[in-house]
Amino acid sequence: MFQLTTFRVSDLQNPINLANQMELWNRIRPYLSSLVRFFHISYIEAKSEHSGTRLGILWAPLSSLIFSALLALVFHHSATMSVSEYFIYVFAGYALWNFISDSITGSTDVIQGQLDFAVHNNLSLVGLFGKLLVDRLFEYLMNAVVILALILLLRPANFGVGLTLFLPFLAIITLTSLGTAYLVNITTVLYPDLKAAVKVGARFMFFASPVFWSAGEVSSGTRAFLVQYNPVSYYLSLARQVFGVEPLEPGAWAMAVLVSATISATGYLAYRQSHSFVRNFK
Amino acid sequence: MAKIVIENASVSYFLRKRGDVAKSTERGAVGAEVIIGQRYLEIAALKNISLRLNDGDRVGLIGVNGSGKSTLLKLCAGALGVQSGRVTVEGRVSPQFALGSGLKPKLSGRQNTELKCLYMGVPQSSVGRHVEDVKALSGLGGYFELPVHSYSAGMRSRLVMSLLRLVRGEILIMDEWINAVDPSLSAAVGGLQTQLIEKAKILLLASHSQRVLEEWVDRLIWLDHAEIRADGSLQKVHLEYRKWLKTRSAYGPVKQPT
Repeated sequence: MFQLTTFRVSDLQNPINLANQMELWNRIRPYLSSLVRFFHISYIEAKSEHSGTRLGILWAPLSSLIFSALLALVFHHSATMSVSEYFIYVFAGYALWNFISDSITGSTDVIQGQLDFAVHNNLSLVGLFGKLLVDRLFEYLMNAVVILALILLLRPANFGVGLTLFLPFLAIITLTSLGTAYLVNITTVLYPDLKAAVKVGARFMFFASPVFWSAGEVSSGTRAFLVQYNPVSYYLSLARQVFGVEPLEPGAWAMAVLVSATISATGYLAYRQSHSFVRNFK
Repeated sequence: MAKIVIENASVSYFLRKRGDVAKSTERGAVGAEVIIGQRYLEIAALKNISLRLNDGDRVGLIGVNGSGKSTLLKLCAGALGVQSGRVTVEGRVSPQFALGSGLKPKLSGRQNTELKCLYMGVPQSSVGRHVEDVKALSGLGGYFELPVHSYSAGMRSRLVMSLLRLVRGEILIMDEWINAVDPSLSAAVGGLQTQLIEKAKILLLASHSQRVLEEWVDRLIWLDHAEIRADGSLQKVHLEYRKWLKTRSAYGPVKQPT
């Protein structure tokens, strides 16, 4: 009560601050409202994909959970991690890998296949890519909730400062995903043969990235090369750092930001140059 | 205030070259010019179009198949880009290009209606009420809970027409769509279409039907070979168009407007 009164008095004393806050809120509000709306749409669509099943939408994180458990059981080779630790390590990586893979393989036919639907539903070209991004984020966030629950259950000590980096981490992967999606789309529109190559490439990347093998335990050979030069390994490391599975490593963040900035800037330039042409490509 | 301003806009479609591309350039009775580019075939669907639509305009588009009507509509809706010139659209656009566009066939009528509400900006707290309204209006009963791909054409038509209640566009863009109305639809649903058109600040409607045009528009734009051939009052332009059709039919079969 005291705090509330103090706040109001200070606001009265400084009406400019209040007006600025209100203006800022009024600017942000439509975007937040659209975001919530898009998440609601993603929820309805995801629910419909599992309609007729008893567990319904729960199958989305459950299938990732089961697959990660199998990977952890089969490929557990670590001397430094227990099976439960390794399971969380694999799951944190696999959940993000799904997001990365969807950004690439799910973007080969966006404009030619979905723009008509989007236009009938009040979405622009940018809105369409934004909507598909929210779909991917929705799936990732469902998995993230399960990861948090698992950490609480199996490794409560992992809860730490890393979680405060979750929002910056989301910002990084959001921008990268958006840029990647547009670049993949425009490339496969111009060079249709690349559609198959993109799918094969994504499958190869799954094995070439430290999703189910430990990046911290390789110091030489092909895997060490992949950890250093495969950008996906930095993003996987970030996801694990956020959940406290790996120690914080500023170098990995710096590298991920650099890669993301490059992809986002390239995607933006490609959009500026091609958005008129690509919509008319049949 | 809503407006559409198009200044010297040219729009082309691009296709990949396949087979003997030289044959593609042969001109027929209908369709825009096909140009063989370095990498692609280019269909010049609109050439140097200039147009201005303001609040209260009720505009019809006529022209033979491939004259550029649908392209112009899609350009105004943002589904196509311009290769040269400029397009300025102010106001919320509601396009209705084909019956069932904007629906997901795998989802039920209820789920599609929920999605439509969310896309159309209906407050989330009122989505449930709107869904029930649409269900009652459509008269689909239990089919409302089934996937749309299991609907007959008439049922789909009922759902789409009932969803009109959710459309909140200031600029209404329709492509031959009014003709697709199922005659068995109730008067309430038919009335919605009228409300929708009357509520819109700008109506842009492509149709071959003189009856439909006379009912809804007062200005007519005649497109021919990707260019505006005439733009004026409905009666004047339609008369010119009919005369031209009669002359043109001497050179080949042409479908008369109904």
